[in-house]
Amino acid sequence: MVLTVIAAVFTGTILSCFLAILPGLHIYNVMGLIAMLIYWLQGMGIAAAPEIYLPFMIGLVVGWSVLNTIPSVLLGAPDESAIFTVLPGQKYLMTGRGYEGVMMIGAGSLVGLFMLVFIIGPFAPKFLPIVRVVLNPHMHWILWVIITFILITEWPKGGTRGPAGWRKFADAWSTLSAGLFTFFISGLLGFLLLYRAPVSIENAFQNIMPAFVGLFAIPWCLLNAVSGAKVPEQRVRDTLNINGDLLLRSGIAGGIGGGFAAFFPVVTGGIGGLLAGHATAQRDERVFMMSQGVSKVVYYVGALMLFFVPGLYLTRGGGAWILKGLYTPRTIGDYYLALGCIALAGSISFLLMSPLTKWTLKLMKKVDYRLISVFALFIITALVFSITGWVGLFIMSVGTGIGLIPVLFGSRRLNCLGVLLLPIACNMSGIGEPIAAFLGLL
Amino acid sequence: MKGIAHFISGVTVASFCPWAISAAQEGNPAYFILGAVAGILPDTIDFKFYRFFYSHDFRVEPAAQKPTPPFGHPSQEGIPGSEMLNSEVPSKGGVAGGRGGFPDVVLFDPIKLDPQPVADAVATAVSAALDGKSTTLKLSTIQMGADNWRQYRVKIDPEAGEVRVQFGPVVSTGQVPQPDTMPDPRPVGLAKFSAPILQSYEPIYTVDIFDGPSFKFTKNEAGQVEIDFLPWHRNWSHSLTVGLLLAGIASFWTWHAGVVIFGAYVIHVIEDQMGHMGSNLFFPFSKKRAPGLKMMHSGDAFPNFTGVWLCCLLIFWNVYAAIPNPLYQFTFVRFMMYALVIPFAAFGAVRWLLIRADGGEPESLSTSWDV
Repeated sequence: MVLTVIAAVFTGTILSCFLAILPGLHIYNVMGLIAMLIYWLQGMGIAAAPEIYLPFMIGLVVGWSVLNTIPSVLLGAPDESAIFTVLPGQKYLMTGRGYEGVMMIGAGSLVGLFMLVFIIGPFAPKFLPIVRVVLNPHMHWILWVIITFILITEWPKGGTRGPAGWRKFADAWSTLSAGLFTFFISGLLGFLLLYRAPVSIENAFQNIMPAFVGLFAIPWCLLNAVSGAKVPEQRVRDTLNINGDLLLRSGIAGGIGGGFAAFFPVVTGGIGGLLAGHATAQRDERVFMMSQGVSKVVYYVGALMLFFVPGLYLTRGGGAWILKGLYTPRTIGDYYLALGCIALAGSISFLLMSPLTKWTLKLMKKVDYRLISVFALFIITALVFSITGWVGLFIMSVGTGIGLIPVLFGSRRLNCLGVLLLPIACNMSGIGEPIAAFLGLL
Repeated sequence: MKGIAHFISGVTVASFCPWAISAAQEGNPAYFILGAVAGILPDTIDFKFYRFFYSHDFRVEPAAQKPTPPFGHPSQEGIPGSEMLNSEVPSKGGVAGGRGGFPDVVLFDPIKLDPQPVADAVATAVSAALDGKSTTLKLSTIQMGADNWRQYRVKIDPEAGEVRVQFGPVVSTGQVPQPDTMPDPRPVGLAKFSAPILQSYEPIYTVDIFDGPSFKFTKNEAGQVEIDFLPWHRNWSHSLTVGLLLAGIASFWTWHAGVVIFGAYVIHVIEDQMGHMGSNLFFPFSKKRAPGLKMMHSGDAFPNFTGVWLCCLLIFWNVYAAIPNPLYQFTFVRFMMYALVIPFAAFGAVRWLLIRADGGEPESLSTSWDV
């Protein structure tokens, strides 16, 4: 059985290498397809063993969450029009240090995996059930407070010059208004999808997928495809300019952000990263980058891990929801199996990171990165169409329109998460249905 | 303190109110949202509203910032003298109409990095205050591209009676200097003023990211010119009386809301008072900011994080204490030991070991240059 588990983890992790390189493709979509395949096999009378699909799925999530750093840094070249929205990883790319940037975030991912397996893992069964019992009746207002924070901390980016007055105020508030508008229009889309689900009932678990692809993935691919930026020659360095103290600070910042996002419903890794970034007040961009690596892994892998924690069995994140339909963990053996799979898949992914990054850099020399983005655009559009049909493509187009607002106005893309945050917070506070009725959705 | 610390402090204040917890248990998040908003409101008023309406007698701006001039900027209105090319920027350029014949908009060249126009403008603003009427000055930042800003420093030296200005490295939005960006040569702009100065903040002002600093120069009864750093910030918005006023307005809805708002507002003012700048505590009865206790800087990582973490723990405890028959029993001391003392001690020990293993000194990001 041990060999079967190892083989399944290995296969999942290797497959995730290819999936992670493709910009815009989310692992939960692939997991959804695999779940459909397992259901189909069960319908044919062929039962898939959990000892195979659980480690395989864990390998997929771990591998993807570690390795999708590669496209996010190397295939997201910004041009000068992306002023204010450029991330440190992209800055590394544009100064010929893309490899260094990827490996730095990778080092953060390794810290995240270490924290999950060796720090959070042993204590989670003892403490997390208590936290859950205490906070469960209060999740709704915590979510409202998070929404308030996201909206109130959008920073005015204009209005720095010229005489005082309404014109200066209007200039400053153009980004703020765009951010608020994006949040509420996304929320409206979320209400529509929740109360008038246009996707067929067989694919209901992928209901939100086309909107998410439109809000986040398509604008990114489009931006890359039309970007006028020329990626400079990339250098590969053998050492990273980091030390233990920086890794520790990244671990604390990213671990808190990712852990918060993994534990609380609807809160994503991006929100967790935002909160942790503010709370820990880290200015060093190396710490920022590594903490993003920590946060991403702790969010995706941690959410899956919580599903196996004895006494908790918390379903958070798309991966856990997909697994919940297939399997119910019961024993501490399941938990340690999951922790072992996470450790193994994490090690394999990190070892693959350097060769995969070098391979991607070689590919970028031969193929224009804009073409790669166009190819990714084609793949994810085909995926949306194959699962959700024309209706899904329409939702995706609407989502793309909304997702382009923050790109054009320089506001936070995080505001697009209104698609989830607003309807779910309203529902948790018991005002979702009256609002839906007011909107004519009931 | 940083925005998130004020924000979560407001939520913590709400969690101490039993009615807020009861309402939340019934699905009403209003008191917690009110606490959060009131906690950050003083800074929101200043940074998102008031500063755009605060007018300056003198504005110092880089001339080559052509891509995104805001509405109302002279370059958009075709005022002669403001449409300058890099090579045409004089040491005193801009639009006439300021005090004492000095232009109210001084443009300097962000490529050539001549600091003299900046020094002249600051010295002129200081000297103009000797006339008896307050003067205000705004120094703009220089954006060099995506996430890059040219840093410069202004030193107002009361003993030497001079202003010294020098350009420094390009820094990221995190104020981290970028390698090999220190200009060479780096001349010092020097301008004399005759006014005796009373410093209320620090003598060296760094101008780098987002919006630049403002100053108000006022002649006091002793004949000195007082320097008021960021005059639009921590003024009337950071007063206990305004907090009381807002709480009174909210009390028309329910006194519960008034208590939450006042508590959150007051905690913001108290937290700010631990820093250097202080706040105008009793506006309109007091006209000036009361000096801060200088226990920390608002951007310091450790006090901010400790404050946020402590607030999270207090919220958790208040929520736990409101459970009638809790399934799990633990005391406040035990809770704080597990959630605060042990983790912080472990973090401190591990950090000490790591720094020691790395040579004994933590890495510093401070810009190692002085004007």
